[in-house]
Amino acid sequence: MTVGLLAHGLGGRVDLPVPRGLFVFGAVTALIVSFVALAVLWPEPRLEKRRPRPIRAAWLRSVMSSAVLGWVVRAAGLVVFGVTTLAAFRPVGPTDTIAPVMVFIWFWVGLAILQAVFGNVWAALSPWDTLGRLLQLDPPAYRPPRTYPKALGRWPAAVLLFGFVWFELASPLPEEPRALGIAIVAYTAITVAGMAAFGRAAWLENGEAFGVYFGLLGRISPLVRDDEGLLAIRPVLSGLPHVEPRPGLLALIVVALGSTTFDGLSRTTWWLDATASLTQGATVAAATAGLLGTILAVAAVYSGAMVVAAGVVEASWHPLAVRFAHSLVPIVLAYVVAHYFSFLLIEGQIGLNRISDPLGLGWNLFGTAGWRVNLTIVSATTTWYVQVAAIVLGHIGGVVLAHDRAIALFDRSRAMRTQYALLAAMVLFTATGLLILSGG
Amino acid sequence: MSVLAHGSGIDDLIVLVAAVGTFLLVSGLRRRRGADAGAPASDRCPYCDSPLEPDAVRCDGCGFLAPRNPARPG
Repeated sequence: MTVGLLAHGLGGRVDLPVPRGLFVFGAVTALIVSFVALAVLWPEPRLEKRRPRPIRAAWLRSVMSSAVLGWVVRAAGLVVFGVTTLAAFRPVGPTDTIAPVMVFIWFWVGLAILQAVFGNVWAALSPWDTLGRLLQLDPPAYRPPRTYPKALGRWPAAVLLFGFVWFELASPLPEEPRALGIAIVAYTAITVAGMAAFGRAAWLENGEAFGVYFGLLGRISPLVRDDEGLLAIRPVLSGLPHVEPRPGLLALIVVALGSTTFDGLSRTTWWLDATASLTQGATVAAATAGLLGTILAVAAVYSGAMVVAAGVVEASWHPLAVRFAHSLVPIVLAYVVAHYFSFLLIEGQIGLNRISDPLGLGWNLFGTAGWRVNLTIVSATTTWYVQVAAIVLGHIGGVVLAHDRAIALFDRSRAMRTQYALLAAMVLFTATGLLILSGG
Repeated sequence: MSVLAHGSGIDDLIVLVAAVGTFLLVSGLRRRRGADAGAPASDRCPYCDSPLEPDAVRCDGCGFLAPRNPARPG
């Protein structure tokens, strides 16, 4: 197994239970039926004003407010980060250490799903957040030399996220020994410099790509920490309407969506055939162009829908695009689940083996070093149904959020008409997603 | 030509794109004129609804460029 395989999650799809056209038809029908049902049964905004309800169990309250526990979790995150970084510098095979599995599977895929289920656990685990706290890069102990410019918004996070997905999907670097380690150190240096320049909280909120990205996915979860730091419960998806509109937010979401789509596209036999005879340099150029092109295509479809919607309400399209951007987040999660479900369950098992020997030194710390990957843990048919369910539910989630936002902003009749174009975009995303998934 | 493996081919996508394009066109043509009941007033940020200062270049609330307001000087 190569790093290339670790860095790309999609398995081939050769034996669909029924013709794929039927799945596409069924998925699109489910989307349109949901749209009509919302129009009839959801006349008032329900998610926009929902606030989390604290869970009042005393034991949970004491656990959640425990500073000691908080620092134990932070220390654990920092240790895992340190071991992963050390492992990423070892000049051995990609599956000989835990680093590639930790970064490309457990962190990038597993944590994304964990965030959507359990809320923003990354906020408690982030080694960069912990470093910022240990270095005391917060007022009043520390006075940042600069105030973070509001005009910059989430752009640093969007650019850095693009850097990560380019590293993973388009560059040859994951194949190079130590490249992952250098990338981790470089990203850490950028993050510490950002925190030193603008303060820990300001940089983590705007510039730390994974914090912003995972934070968005965490808003899907029914679990959240309230203003007092206590665990609270809310309806699924209801955290997303409270995402603050900021420059660069839409770009970050489109990068996340487009990169996962490109990962799927780059595994189709069409792409593999087209790039098979290219030199390494040309392959990187083609992959970079493909990645950028897919991101721009996603942006163009969404923007096109918003231009039409803006025409309906005689408004500018860009503010509208930003105000509906949160409706794309469930689709980001859907694509992560659909593209990487079997990858997480099968290739993710390598991590269980490597956890006993994270540096590839022949250790067997937890007795799992002899574990082998169970390739039959999930069947191809089960994977396909999970993929279809994820794509359909993700897009229905998007339609629900967009509908809720539309009726909060506009009168009902106009709200519905703004949503036709977005529904069309969702239909296109759904069908394209399924066609790509079935074409590997 | 098959755009994707294991399947009927590019016609799936062409039909889909044509259908979606027609849908977008029709919904665009149906736009109606009239004041927008939910649109933010020109003295509020269209991105976050924060009040805008008369001479603001950017919104203090969200950092987006403030729309040009004909009522504002300059």
